[in-house]
Amino acid sequence: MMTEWFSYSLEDFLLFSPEVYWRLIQQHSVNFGAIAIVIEVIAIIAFYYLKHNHKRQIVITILIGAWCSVGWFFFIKQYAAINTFAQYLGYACLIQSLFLLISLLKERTSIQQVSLTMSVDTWSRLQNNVTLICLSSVIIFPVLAALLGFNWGTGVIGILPLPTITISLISVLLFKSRMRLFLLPIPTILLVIELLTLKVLLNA
Amino acid sequence: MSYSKRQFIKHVAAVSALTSIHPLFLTSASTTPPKNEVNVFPIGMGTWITFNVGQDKALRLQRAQVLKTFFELGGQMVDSSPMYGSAEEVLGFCFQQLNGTNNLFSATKTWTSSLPEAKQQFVDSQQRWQLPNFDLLQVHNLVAWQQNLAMLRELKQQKLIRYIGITTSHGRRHNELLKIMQNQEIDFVQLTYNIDDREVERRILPLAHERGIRVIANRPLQGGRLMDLTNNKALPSWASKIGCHNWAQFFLRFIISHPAVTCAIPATSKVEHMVENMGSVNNIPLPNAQERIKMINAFKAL
Repeated sequence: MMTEWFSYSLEDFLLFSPEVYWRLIQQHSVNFGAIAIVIEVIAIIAFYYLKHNHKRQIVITILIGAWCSVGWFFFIKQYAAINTFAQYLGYACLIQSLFLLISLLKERTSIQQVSLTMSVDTWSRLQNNVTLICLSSVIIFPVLAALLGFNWGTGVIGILPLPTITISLISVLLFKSRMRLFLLPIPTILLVIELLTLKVLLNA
Repeated sequence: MSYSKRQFIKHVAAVSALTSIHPLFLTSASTTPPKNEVNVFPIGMGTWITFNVGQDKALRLQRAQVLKTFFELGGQMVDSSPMYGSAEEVLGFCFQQLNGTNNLFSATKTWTSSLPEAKQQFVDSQQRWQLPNFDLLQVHNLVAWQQNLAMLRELKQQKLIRYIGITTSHGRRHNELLKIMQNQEIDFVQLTYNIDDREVERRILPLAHERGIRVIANRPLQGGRLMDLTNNKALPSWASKIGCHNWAQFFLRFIISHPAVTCAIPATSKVEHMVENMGSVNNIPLPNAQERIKMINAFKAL
C-alpha cells in the first residue's frame, strides 16, 4: 500500500488547470476591490501603531479577521469549487482564528510583564524589528503582486492565503512563547501546501 | 453527424480481425464474444481537470462549446466523477446551454467509503448533471468497492442506472482489479491504457474480453504528456494509411484498435483538440496487429 502512495505525484492531487487557478485568484482579489483598500490602510496603521505603542491586541484582532476572511471567503466559498480539499483548509483557517482569539485574551499583559529569558531592552528591540518587517511586508506584497501582473489586492493580508500566512508567521515572534506553539502549525502546514501548489502550477 | 451503423460495423470488424490474429493483445479465450450489448462511439470525453472551472462563466461557456463539438461529431460517452471538483456541475451547466444531451452516454462515479454518503453522492450527481438516470455508475478507484458495488446493484435494479463499473488509473491496483473482474458481475471497467502504459494488455484486457466486460481507457494521452513528447516531431509517413492525420489520432487509434477496448476518453478544454480527437474515428479501417506493433516501435523511437 505504501508503494502505491509513492506512485502518486504532486500533480495527481491538483484537479484543476493553472489557467483556472490563476483566473480564480485574480477574480477573487478583484471582487474584494474597495475592501482591499480598507484592509490595507487598517493593516498599515495597525503595524505602525504597534511599532510605537507595543500594543499587540490590535494586530491580533486584524489577524483574526484576516484568517476568518481567508478561510471563509477564499477557501470555503471560492477555492472549494475547484478543489475538494479546500474546505478543510478553510476550517483550519477558522481554527487558527480561534487560537488567535485565545491569544488575544492572554496577551493582556504589557511588555514589561512578559516573562522571557531576554532583557526588556532586547525584547523591545526584537519587537521593533519584527513590527518593521511586518509593516514592510504589508506594503511590499501588494506592490509585488502588481509587478507580477496580478491585481494588487492579491497581496493584501486577509484576501489570499500567502500574504496572510507569511505575515502571521512573522507576527508569531511577537507572542509569548507558549502561545507560539499553537499559532505556528496551521500557518506552517498551509505555507507548505501553498508552495507545493504553486510549484505544480508553475511547472505545468 | 453521428456514429453510423456502418462505422460501427467497420469498427467491430476491425476489432474482430485483431482478436483472431494477434495473440499479443488477447491471450486468453479471445474468441468469446462480449456479452454486454453496449455500443458507444469509441471516442468519449473525460472531464478530469478540463471541466473543473468552478463558477467562472467565461470558461463554462467555452467548455459548452467543446461539448457541443463533441456531440456534433458523434460523441456519446461523457465521464466524470464527484472527485473532479466542479466538473459535474459544469457539465450540467453545459447541457443546459446546449438545450439537451442528444446521444449522451452518461458515466459518473461513486467516491466515498461511507454508504450514506455514497447514496447522497448519487443524488448530488443527479442534481449536478441535471439528469434523473445515468447510463453508467462506477466505483471510483476501487474505493470501498464491496459496499459500493452492492449499492450500485440496487440502483441498477431500481433502473436509476443501466450499467455498473469499477475504475482505476495510473496503472494502480491491477491485482485487486483482476480479482474483482473475476468474481463480480460488472459491466464496465475503466483503467489506464495508452501506447506508453500497456501493462493491462497482459492480463486485464484479455480477461475483460473473456468475461464480456466493456473497457474504458482513461489517460489515453497520459494527461497531455504524450502530446508533449511529439512536439515538432513529424508523424511517420505511413500514419495516414492507418487513418492518423495527427499525433492525437495516432495515439487514440492505437487504443481503440485493441479488441477489448470499448472507448477511450481523452479530456480537452479546446474545440480544435476535440475535433482532432473525434477525427480518430474515420472511414479507414483501424490498425491491425502488425500495424499496432509498428505504431509501438514508432512511439519508442520518439
